[in-house]
Order: sequence, then structure tokens, then C-alpha cells
Amino acid sequence: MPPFFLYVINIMFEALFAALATIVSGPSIFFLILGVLIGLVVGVIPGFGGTVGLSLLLPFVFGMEPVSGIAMMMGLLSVVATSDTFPAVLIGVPGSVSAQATVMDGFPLAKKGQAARALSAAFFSSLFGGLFGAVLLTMVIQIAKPIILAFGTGEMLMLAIFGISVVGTLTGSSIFKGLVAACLGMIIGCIGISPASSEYRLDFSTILEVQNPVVMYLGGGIHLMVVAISIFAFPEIVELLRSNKAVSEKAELEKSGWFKGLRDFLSNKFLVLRCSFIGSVIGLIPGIGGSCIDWISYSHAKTTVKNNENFGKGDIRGVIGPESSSNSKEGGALIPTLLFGIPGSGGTAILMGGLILLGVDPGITMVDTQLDLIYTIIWSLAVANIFGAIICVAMAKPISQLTTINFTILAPFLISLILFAIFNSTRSWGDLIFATFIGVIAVYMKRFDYSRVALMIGFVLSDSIETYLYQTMQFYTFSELFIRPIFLVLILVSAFSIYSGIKIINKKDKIANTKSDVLNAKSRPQWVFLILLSIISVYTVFVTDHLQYLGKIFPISVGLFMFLFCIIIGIQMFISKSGSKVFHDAENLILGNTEIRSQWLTIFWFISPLFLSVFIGFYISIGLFVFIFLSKIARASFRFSLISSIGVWIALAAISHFMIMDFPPGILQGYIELPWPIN
Amino acid sequence: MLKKILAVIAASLFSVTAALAVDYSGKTVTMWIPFKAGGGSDTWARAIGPAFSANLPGNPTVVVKNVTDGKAIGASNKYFAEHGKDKDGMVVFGTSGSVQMPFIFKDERVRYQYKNMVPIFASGTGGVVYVRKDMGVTDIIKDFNKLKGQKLVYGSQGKTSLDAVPILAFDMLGLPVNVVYGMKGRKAGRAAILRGETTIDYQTTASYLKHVKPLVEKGEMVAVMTWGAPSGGEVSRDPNFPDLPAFPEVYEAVTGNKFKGTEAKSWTALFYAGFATQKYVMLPKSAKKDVVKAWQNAAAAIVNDPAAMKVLNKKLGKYDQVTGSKALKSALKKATSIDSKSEKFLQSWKDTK
Repeated sequence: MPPFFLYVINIMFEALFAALATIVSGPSIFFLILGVLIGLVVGVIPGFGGTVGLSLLLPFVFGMEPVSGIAMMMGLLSVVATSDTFPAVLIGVPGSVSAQATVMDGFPLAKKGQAARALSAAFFSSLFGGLFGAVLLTMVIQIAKPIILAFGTGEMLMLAIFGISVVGTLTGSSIFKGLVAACLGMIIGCIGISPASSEYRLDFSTILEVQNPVVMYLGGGIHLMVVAISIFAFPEIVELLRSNKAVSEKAELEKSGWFKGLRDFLSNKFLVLRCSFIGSVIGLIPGIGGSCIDWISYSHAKTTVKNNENFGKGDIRGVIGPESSSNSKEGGALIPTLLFGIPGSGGTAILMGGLILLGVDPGITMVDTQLDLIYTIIWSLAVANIFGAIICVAMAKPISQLTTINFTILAPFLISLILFAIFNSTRSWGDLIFATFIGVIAVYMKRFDYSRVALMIGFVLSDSIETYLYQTMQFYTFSELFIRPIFLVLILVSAFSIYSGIKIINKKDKIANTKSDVLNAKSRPQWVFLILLSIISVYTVFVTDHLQYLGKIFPISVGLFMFLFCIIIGIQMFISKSGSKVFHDAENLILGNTEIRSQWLTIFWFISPLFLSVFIGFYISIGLFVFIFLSKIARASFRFSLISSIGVWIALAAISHFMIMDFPPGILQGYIELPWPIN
Repeated sequence: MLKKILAVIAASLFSVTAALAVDYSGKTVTMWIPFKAGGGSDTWARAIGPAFSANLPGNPTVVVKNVTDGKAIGASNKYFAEHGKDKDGMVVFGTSGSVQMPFIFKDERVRYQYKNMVPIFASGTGGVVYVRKDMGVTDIIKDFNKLKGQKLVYGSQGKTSLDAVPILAFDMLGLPVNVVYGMKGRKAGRAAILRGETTIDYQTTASYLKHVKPLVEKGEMVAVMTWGAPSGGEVSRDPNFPDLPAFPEVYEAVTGNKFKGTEAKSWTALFYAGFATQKYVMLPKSAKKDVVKAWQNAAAAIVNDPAAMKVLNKKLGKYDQVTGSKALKSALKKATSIDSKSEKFLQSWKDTK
């Protein structure tokens, strides 16, 4: 090795270890642990991700000593993607965006009584992913510039298309139902300002006056967390409430949970490695967004392992895959943040704001002049990951006990939590209303086997595809595009992904057609739902037609495709006999079972606090709801119900105080001036 | 008799409250920021928040509240719906160019009126236009025809955003710039020029100093002009970049016309709204006089506080921080009003491709 090279390595290592010493000695370690603890809490509460958590910290960070401030922020940021697994596994609600895909298999595992196993396998994978991200960051920070710059809009477009192509591998048994769902997701993603022409789309401004609150809300677009929670959590909770059982179908949880999780992690080490790699590399590229990484690695896990029939029904590898990538992406996302001052994720965007407040300006000069600070950041990431994982693993088993409690008792707390989380997305009434609307659609999507994952992926990638498609066409000619090597590689990868999707669906076909005739019986609601979906597609085409060419071409194309797919499903339903897979209806299986509560009744319970809020405001109605639900429906004792509702009130008041947030007022508050926090 | 007593009580109460000076001790004052946490306006607010806390009577806790419901326009509307008639100055409003621009362009969603606000403090910034080195341009005026012959691509957020300033400027210079929309903020624009997909770009001063200047020094990019800075009613050279010509100067040199007329007036209006005094702290007009006074005094004290100014200068570049009732009023007027001719021009310009 040439001596100069050795010299550089030597300097690097010196700086690296000096940075480690700075973190573990002195006050920084306490701030780091403080950050980790806040991050744990923030991650566990659904709706609060690293973005919200960090913005909470910003006012405290201002004026702190830089190394301590960095340690605290990194502690929080790196641990959120670990602890958000708790709600994902235990109640099927992603704690933050990066646990979307964990729900897929984590929650079914909890139903099997294996929550502790799923959790600890997730934490070990997450720990490894985090460390992997840190190592990658160390290695490439000085040479990453050309790599990042090689990803132009053409490559980003192909990445987004690759993201969409995984829909095939994740969707249910009918490819067309999956495609309709993906189109619906893209249409929801189109709501708001169009990227290319800056026009407002699908905001009902063609029917209503522009100053109407609905129009104003939709003008800002629908927030990712609103869609994620309503699409996944809403139907799950409705279903659990209906069956009136505990999450875990077994009363006794499996023994030696966390040890088993460790074994799962070790026996899938190559999967962990691959997914960590995927996470950091896609995280490295600013612009594609972290939200689809989890799905890409989930799909990767599903397509590359043997015997994948149980994916979606509780396969531990479906937890390990996305958890490895969800934490490694933070390391990747830090690279463009530190190198160019261009954040690669929502969390790092706020981290950058915090760094600026600390007087550390990320940018090109930082690598040359403040390498020690970069290493401080890297080490904080690594050390925080270790602390976070240890705490989470220790908590996994006791917290898993929650899954043995009858769900009706847990429900009011969860419903409050979810409504709160949804409301926190943009803190407006619209969040709650549209989440309910999407949630009800999701209940039926689940029932009729329209893939909800496909909707989510379509939603997440809608904006990227539209923006990059348009920009790519402007920046490149065809011949320029097809000599770019990364672009070509990504085309191959997408083609392979579509191919494996078709293979998986064919396999499913065989299974689906052998299922009982009872499940696939014809029923009228299926037609009603299909017609509703067609109406949405036609509506989209009509109300975007008056926009400029650049504003309407994408929604109209998506709308037309969706309509086409609806027609195909309609024809299939028309010509097929009862018992064919196109007639999937989960409701048929429980027909006549009197122990199961009615679907609409449980949906009504879910949204009843919202009705109450209209009159007496959100804050009062939530506590009241908890009390009424516990005492009337769950038949809990008066004392327990009262204490619970007061507990919820206190918790909400505390959050309102620390988060500087007001709850939606009702008619009552419009007439009478009330003291905090019920005003 | 009863009436009389009541009148006396009312009068004495009134005089008591009037005599009481504004005092925020033990209170929490909120800065309503219609942008998400971590962005430019948020960082600005969090930088001046503590400074206000230190200088307001009673040293209240100053917290920043990020309201993003309905984006910048919706959140600003919401401020006026909820606090537009406040008297006590407990919730102040922080605006930015992205709140002023839709107002200037008469977006029908806008429900806020600047005439119903009292400015307390205003921060300005500037912008620097730069091109890739391979354009072969070093001086925009001398090499103008060379620049004109190049493939010019600019990545933009949208024509009625802050990008109205560069796009109108390119139009006025007659530069055949292909504007590609859909960039998510100026950061994305910077990323695109680094990749070589765009060839001309601008950044606000703070971002330029941090991210582009090192590239200029390395010889990858070339700075060609600034938007300028206000001085004595004119837009002249930006004191942070005395060696770079300001846009009006370039315009006059290149086109041979005076920087006058509807186009120039419209551009100047946009420049004031988006750069010259971009970020305002404001109170609703309903606020009591002594409340306004207390806030304005605090703002004046901040400007005289070197530590606070150091933070602000770092954030926004070294520009005027406007305080004082008179200066603020004239600045706000420039940043938010537009003569009918220019307005008509901008409305039709907006719809051209």
C-alpha cells in the first residue's frame, strides 16, 4: 500500500477514535441517552416519528454545547426506527413511517402469541442495520460525492418505477385488484398542488368554493401518516373489536421469546446484510424518500427466501427484512445531508435545522474542515443504536403481555391514541375526517382482498413518479438516457421484480382456487364496492381535465388505467362462477356467527369520539369516550373506567403542553371561553 | 346612583389596566410559523425567539408553533381567523416570501390582508445567480452573448413561488432559459445543477455562502450576478457581494434600456416581497398600542444585541434587520403592495409558458 494512503487511513482512524472518546466521556453520553429515551417514547407513540421528535428537541438544542446537542439529536433519530416496531407488532399500527412494512408479518406473529420473538428479532436486525449504516457512512463519506451525483432524475424515476414494480410481489391473489389499489393510492397522492404546474388538483374546488375548509385542507395534500394509519390500523382494529378477543390467539405467550428472536436474526444473517445494504444505498439518494425503502426490502425478503408462502401470515423473515433496512437508511440519508446540505429523509431534514442551530453548517466544506464532527455524528448513531436496542430487547417480553388482554379493554386507549396520532399529522380536522373516510375504504379493501400495500406504495411514489417523469423528459433525450449505466441496471432490476411478482401470483392462483367455495361466494357488496372505485376513477378524469397539460396528464392517465382495471375485474366477476377467486369476501366466513359484532357498529364506535368532538371539542370527548366505552361496552368497573379516562386526559394535557398543540374545538368552545387544555 | 357607581368602578378599572405596563412574566408567547419545523423560516424563528424572550418585558417563554394545516396559505389564513382580533400579543405571526408571493399574485385562497397587520421586525436576504463552469462565462455582461448561446436550464419550484424573481429576470434579460418545474425547494435545484442536469441556478445568500461559494472557489461554478439589495429606494449592489453586479445593473448594461417601466416595477415588487424584507414578525392590527410598543422596543433591543445579531447574520447573510415603526411600515408596503399596472402585467405573465 502506498505510504500516503496509509497516512490518510491513519489520520482517519485517529479522528475516528478521538470522536468516540469525546462521546463516551463527559456530559455528551448523558445527552445521548436522554435522546435515546425520548426517541423510544416518540417511536412508540403512533404518529410521532423522528421528524416530530426532533422538532420537539430543537428549542432545547439551541444554545447547547455542539457535541452534546449532536449526541442528543442523533440518539433520538437513530432509535425511533427501532422502537416504532412495538406498536407495529403489538397492535398492527406502525409507530412511525419506517415500520409500515413491519406490520405485515409482525402483527400476525403477535396473533400467534409470538410477539416477543418478533420484537426481539426486529430489534437485533434494527441494531445491525443501524451499525451497518454507521460503518457505511464512515467508509464512503469522503468518496460519496460522485456516487450521489450519478443519480440523476432519470435514475430516480427508475427507482420510483422499481418501487411500484414490487406491488406485484406484495399484492393479493388478483393482480387487477392490486393494480386498482395502486392506482387509487396514486390518485390520493395527486391531491393537492401539482408538482409541475403548481395547480390545485382533486380538492373539490370544481364543486365547492375555494375558501371552503375541505378545499383548503385538500389543497395541502393528504399526509403520509394519515394514509398509513387509516389504511393499516383502522381495519385491523375494527376486526379485533368485532371478534372481541385478545390480539394473541393463545392465552399463554411462547416462552424464551427474545432468545428465539436472536436465533432468528442469526440464522437469517445474509438477509439482514442484504436488506441493510438496500436501506443505506437507497437512503443515500436524496429525493426518493425513505418511505418506500421498507416495502422494497420487504419485497426483496419475500422474493429471495425459500418457502415464502407464509409471508403476510406471520413469517419472521418478513419482520427481519424491513427492520434491517429501516435503520440502516438513516446512515445512508446522513451522507447527502452532511456532504451537500441536502437531506435524504424527513428526519435528517430537521436534524440539519438542528445542526445549523448548533452552529454546525453541513455542507461540502464540512468533510474537509470538520471531519471530527462528522465522526462524532457517526459514533453517536452507532452508540445510540446499541443503547436503544438493549432497552427495547429488555422491554420486549413484558410489553408483549399486552397482547393477551381482551382487545375490547385496550380498544378505547388505542382509538384515542390513533385519533390523536392522525390529528397530529397536520393538526387539522381534515386529518380526522379523511382518515375515517380512507379507513372505511380500507375495511372493504381488506374484506374483498384489494391489496392495501399496493395502495400505500402507489400513494408514496405518486409524487416521485410524476415529478421525475416530467423532469426526465425535459432533461434528457431518449438516446442520452439509454447510455446511462445505472439507469439501464435499474430497468433490469425492475423487470426482474415484475417477473418474480408474476411468478408469485401464479403460485397464489393455485392456492386461491383451491380455497373453499364459501370464502369466494358471490355477494352484492362486492359489486357496490367495485362501482364505487370506478366512480372515483371517472371522477378523477373529469375534474382534472380543465388543468394545464402538465397538471392533468398524470392523474388522467392513472384514472383511465384504474377505470380499465375496474372494467376487467367487472368482466371477471360477470363471467366467473361463484367460488372463483375474484369473489374473495372475508365476510362470508363469519356469516351467521353471532359472537362476531357487526361491522358498522364497530366502525361507528371508532368514529363516535369524532361526532362527540363536533359538539364538545376533541379533548373532552376523548376522555368521555374512554369512560363510556370501558363502562358500557367493555363492562369494566366504574372505578377502572373513571381512572382510565382521567389518565387519558392527563396524558393528553401533558402532550398538549409539551408539543404546543391545541386540540380541535367543538361548537361548545365557540360559545364559551374555556380554560386550557379544553379550549 | 347604581349607574354612577358602576361608571366609577369601570373608569377606575380602566385607568388601572391602562397604567399597568405590558408584562409577560410567567407567560408563554407563541410565534405562529406557517411552515414545518427545520425549514428556513422555522430556524429563523427559533433563532430570534430566545432574543425576544430576553428583551420583552417580563421575559416570557417564547415558543415556536409550526402550523402546516393547508400549507403556508392555509396556516396564515388560520392565524387571522383565530388571532386576527387579539389584543394581548400572546400569539405573533411569522411570515416569509412564500406567504407574500401568493398575496401579490392574488391567489384566491389568500384570506389574509397585510393592511391588517403591524410589522414588528423584518429580516431581509439576497440571492446569487451562478452557472456551471462549462458555460464558459466569467462576466455576465461581457460574456452575455456567449451565455445566451448555451443550453440554459433552470430547475424551479413553480412560477408563482419565490422563483418568480429569477424567471422574470431571465425573461427580462432575454435569456432563453428552459425552466423545468417540480423542484422541491432550492435545495433540489442545487442538487440538479451539481448533477449537471440544470446549468443556471440561484441560492439565497446564506445557502450560497455555505454551499456554492466553496464550489466557486474550486472552479466548478461561476457566480454571475446578485438580485441586489435595497438602498435609498433603488435596488443596487448587494454589500455582501460588492464584486458582483446586481440584476438591474445587468439589465441596463445588456438591454441598453433604463431599469424602468412595468416589467421593472413588477420585478422590484417581487424582489421586495421575496428578498429585500422577506421574513416578518407581525402582530394583528387589533393589538393594543402599548403591546405593539413593547414588541417594537424588544425588536430594537435585539438589533443592538451583538450575540443575537451574530446568529441572525449567519442564518440570513448580513442584511438589514428592519425595526422601528416607520421603517417597517414602508418596508411592508413595498413588500406587499403593487400598482395596478404591474399587477395586470404579472397576472398575464403568470399564464404564459
